[in-house]
Amino acid sequence: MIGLTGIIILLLLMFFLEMPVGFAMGLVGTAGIWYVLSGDAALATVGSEIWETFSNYGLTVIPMFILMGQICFYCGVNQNLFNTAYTWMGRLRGGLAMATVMACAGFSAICGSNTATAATMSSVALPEMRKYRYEPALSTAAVACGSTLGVVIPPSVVLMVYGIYTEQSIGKLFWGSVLPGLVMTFLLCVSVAVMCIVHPNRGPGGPRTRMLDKVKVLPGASEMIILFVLVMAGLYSGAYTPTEAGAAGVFFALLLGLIRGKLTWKGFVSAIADTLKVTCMIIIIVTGAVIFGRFLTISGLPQDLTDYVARLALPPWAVMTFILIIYAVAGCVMDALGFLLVSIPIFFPLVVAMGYDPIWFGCILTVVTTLGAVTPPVGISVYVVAGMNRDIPIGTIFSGVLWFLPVYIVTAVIMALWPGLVLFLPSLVR
Amino acid sequence: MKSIIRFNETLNVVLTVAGGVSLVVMTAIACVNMILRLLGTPLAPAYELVSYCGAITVALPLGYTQVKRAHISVDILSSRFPDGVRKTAVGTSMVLGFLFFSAAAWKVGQHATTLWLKGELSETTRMPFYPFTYAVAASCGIMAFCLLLDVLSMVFSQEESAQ
Repeated sequence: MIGLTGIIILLLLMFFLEMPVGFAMGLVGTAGIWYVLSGDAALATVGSEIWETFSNYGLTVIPMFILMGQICFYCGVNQNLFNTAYTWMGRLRGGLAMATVMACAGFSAICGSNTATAATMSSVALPEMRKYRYEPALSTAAVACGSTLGVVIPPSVVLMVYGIYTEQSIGKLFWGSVLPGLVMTFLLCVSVAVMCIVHPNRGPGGPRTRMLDKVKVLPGASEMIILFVLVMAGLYSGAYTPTEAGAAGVFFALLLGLIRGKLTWKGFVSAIADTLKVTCMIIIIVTGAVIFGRFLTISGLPQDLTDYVARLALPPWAVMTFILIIYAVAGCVMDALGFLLVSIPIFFPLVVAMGYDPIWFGCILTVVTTLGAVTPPVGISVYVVAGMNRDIPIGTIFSGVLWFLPVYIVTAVIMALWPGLVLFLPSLVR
Repeated sequence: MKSIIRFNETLNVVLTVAGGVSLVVMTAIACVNMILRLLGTPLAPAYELVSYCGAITVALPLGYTQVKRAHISVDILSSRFPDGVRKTAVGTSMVLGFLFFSAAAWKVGQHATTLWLKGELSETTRMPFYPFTYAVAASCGIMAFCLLLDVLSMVFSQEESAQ
């Protein structure tokens, strides 16, 4: 009962007082431990958990991968990716939008944030699509939905935090989300094609390009491929830890930026400043979640919930469907990472008790929760795109996004029906 | 009040620069260790150094993140409140945040003092690591100070607009 009260107070603090998610979880967790045990125990937990979380070696993976993505962002890697995809696919009806989705997928392979992907692809792809008279409903929705691949395709910040919090291998989580990420990319392109069949004027075909031009632009995608392969191959072979993979990614991103002469001192400083800001925000949420998780464990709520569900005698798939629906709805009203950390202490023991694979669960969660980034009222990716294109009404973007929503559901269903899609590659990792 | 705000901003920029240096150092240590391990001579203290650098990389920019309003909050309901109600709600949230981070600074500081007095050393390098713990405590204190300043700024701006 006390655990449930804690969750209600937490929601009140977040929704009515606009308290940052990490602060609210830390505060409610502390107050809860104070109530159940004692003030001394609560304050001691705060002191020890903050130090332990901040100095946790596993968490250093987060700033490393964020920095890698930021350096690539300031080096203009995204521009090259888009040019390559555009030259290959621009001739097709809706081809520019498909190129945008593919460039988003490419950028997601080196950057774990959907907002960074949305911002960068907005500036690169939207002017081109405007030039070729693409309707904003298609062009903006392609960028917004394409950017959500940043959460699904490794290195994903959500997967890193999930892995650290549930003590799962980050390498296996990364490999597990590769195939679902590719399936989702393909389905997003299919959605563009369907939209252009129904509304041919939304995405007219671009000019034809010669084979020679197509071959010439291929090196544009090489940087992304090199970085991705370097990071993932190291994780696959066990040659280095996730933190070292991130560090190696930073090193090679810097090297590429310097060789190409695209990385300025100002860009480097901005990349560091952005990385620190985002990292700090994430670690505060993680710290709050750890304290809140301690409180929930003491309250016995996760165990009570597991026992309750066991008594219901529902089939595991029905419980899982219910859990995923909760995640999808919650992802619509609050930040995915925040809700993930609030809810993992509650649902994770239940999911494991039902016999589901934690790697599979982490990967399917990224797909389900990222839906919230393109749906009202939070829809962070849509707001980023709208913020960079103030002449396009936000309703237009959401109307375009409607065409892409089945992609998230279909991807989740495929992952549920064929868990091997997620679990095959991790089973090969050493 | 303005000069205090300016001082706070400058202080947080300086701390963020230090956090940035720590991030670069941490990345360099991880890279060097990876290369040396491939050569068969791994850097023994790498694990500890990366952990401690990680602690100050996260802690030092705490205030800067607050100044830049980068902490995620949910405004889906509160944005519909009347202006006065919303300011009171946000102000209350900041006061609670101030109390939380003040307690955090106190307890982490106390933990650092215990480590210092007991002469605790790290396992591999045998170096005292309480300075890093003190840095985290101080950063929590600065975070509390930022939240207090935000509350005071809100109160003063309301008084000014009332006049």
